[in-house]
This record gives sequence, structure tokens and C-alpha cells, in this order.
Amino acid sequence: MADPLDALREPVIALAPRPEFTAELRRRIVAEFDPDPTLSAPEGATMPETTTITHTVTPYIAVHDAARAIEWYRDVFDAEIVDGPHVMDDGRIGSVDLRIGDSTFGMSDPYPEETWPSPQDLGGTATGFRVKVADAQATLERAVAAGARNHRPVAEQYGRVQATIFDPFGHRWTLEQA
Amino acid sequence: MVTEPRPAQGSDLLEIYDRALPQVYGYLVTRCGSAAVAEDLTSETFLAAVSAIQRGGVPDLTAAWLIGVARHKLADHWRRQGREERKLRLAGGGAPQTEDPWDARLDVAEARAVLASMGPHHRAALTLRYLDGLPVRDVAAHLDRTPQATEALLVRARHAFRRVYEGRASDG
Repeated sequence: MADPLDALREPVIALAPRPEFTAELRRRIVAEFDPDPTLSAPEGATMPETTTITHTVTPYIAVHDAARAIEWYRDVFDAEIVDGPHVMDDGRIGSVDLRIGDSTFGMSDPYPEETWPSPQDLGGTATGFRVKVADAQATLERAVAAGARNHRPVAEQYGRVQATIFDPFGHRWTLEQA
Repeated sequence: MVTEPRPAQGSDLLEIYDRALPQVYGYLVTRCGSAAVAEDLTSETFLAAVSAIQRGGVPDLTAAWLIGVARHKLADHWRRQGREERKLRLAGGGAPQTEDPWDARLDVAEARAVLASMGPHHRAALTLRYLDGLPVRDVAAHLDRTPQATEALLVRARHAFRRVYEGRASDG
């Protein structure tokens, strides 16, 4: 006879812990391995390899619910955290740097009181990202499945094959086929 | 010539960290039901991985391997909890009961609530056996018991589970 308790089977589902916990545990692991030469960090840095932004211009955006946005950009664009998140006393993320491919951008929760509103506060956005992806259609589908709005399907424009989405936080991304 | 697999290094752990962490945390938080406990056990899991890597003892570092470590940490957690509760009351073990056949379709949400209300020994045994789907001998290994003692524990745990589950159903 079937065992009724078999209905309890629970596959492993991935759930992200708090971003502060994620960052803190990573720091602890790095510290444990230090002075492992495979991990030697550049002087003054607390994490290996990735803490320094080297490009001259770096976008910086306000995102409503930056903690959730970190996960979203990870899931859809394979973003990695390179610094932070620095959590302020009021619980808002004051700064976090993410890297997608070879490019870095910063973001924070909105601070409308400091003239730093999010697209939700503005009811739109005046800027956008262009991001090179290996497969624009696949990334578009992944983004839409994760809650993005399909603004323009994949088509040729300006001599490029590209699509445009608005992510769930209201930021605009043009996905350019590499 | 067969090349020896290279033991995992610190950089390997950091490389899989972003992918593996939500899996380890997700495994733990859905089983222990507390974000704070899940965070502690997640930290223990990764720091144990650090030690194992430093000893050169991890030939195949994957998320699945880390979840195996997490399962041991979860069993340790319930063992500690069980010891603390035993100080407060005598463990109500007794002889294994024989089981009536139970043919029911469980309401899973209800069943998870019942499980969360149970003592650590029963909860550990049922979680490893049913949520993780481990065979009895693996449950026994995690709980440091013989297979026979584990069978007996599972019989008691199932009995206790059924009593609470059916009690809740008749209350509702």
C-alpha cells in the first residue's frame, strides 16, 4: 500500500537568503581561506578580484526593492555582486555594485526625499541599458518568465538584432544579440 | 594514465557560492521552518566545506555535495534540540507500537504544519525519511542510530504524526 506520508516529499528549491547574510557569509569564507594564495585579494580590498570598478563611467540606478532586484538581475543576466550590499540604518540598501559580463553598475533603494526616485516614483524612466547577450530571444523569454514586460520583440533595428524589455522594477533594457 | 582529480580549492567554493547558496539555504529553511536557524545552519555548512577543502578532502565540490553537508548539520541541530528537551522531560519512547495500516490522502500544507509541531526526534526522522526520501539505513546513519532503532523511531513518529494530524482534522 502507498504510504500517505510520501506526499511530504520536498525537492530542493533554491531560496535566496537575505542579501546581507549572503554577503557576510561570503566575507567569512574569504577570510577563512586567506592567506590561500589562490584567493589573495588586491591590497585594501575585502574580496578577491572584483571589488574595483575600473571603467571611467559607471551607471548608478535607483531601484524599488533593491534586494529583490539583486536576485532578479542575477537570475536573468547572471549578474554578480562585486561590492555590498551596504545596508543603511533604515534597512534600505544604500549601495550595491553588480557586474554583468565585463561591465559594472551600481544601484540603491530609492531615496525620494533626496531627489533619488525610482521608476515607480516617476511613473517611467528616462534612461536605459543596452546589454549584449548571446541569445536575445532566450534572454527575452527568461526575463518575461521572471516578470519583465516585453516592450519590443526581437527584431533588427539600427543594424542590430535586439529586443527591449522593462524589468519588474521599471528599468529599460535593450537586449542586443552579440 | 588516469590523472588524479584535483581536490577542490577555495576559489572553487567561491565560484559556486552564488549558485549553491540559495539551494543550501532553500533546503534548510523549508525543513527547519525558521530563517534564523536556517542561516546558522547555512553558515555551518559552508564553514564545514571550508575546513574540508583545507584538508584536501573534497574531490567533487557541487551544490549536491553541500546539501549533503547541510543534511548532516540539520540532523545535528535536531539532536542538540532533542538533548535540550530531554532535560525538561523524560523522552516518551517506550516500546515500538505496531501500526494500523493508514490509507489517507494527506493535505500537504496541513501535514507540514503537523510536522513543524512535533518534537525534534520525530521531526528529524520523518523529514529525512519523507521530505528527503532517504532509505531507512541512510536516515539511521544521519541520526547515529541502528537501522532497527530507526525503524522503531519511525513507527513511533508516524504514530504520533497520525494522532496529531487526525486530531487537527476532527477539530476543524
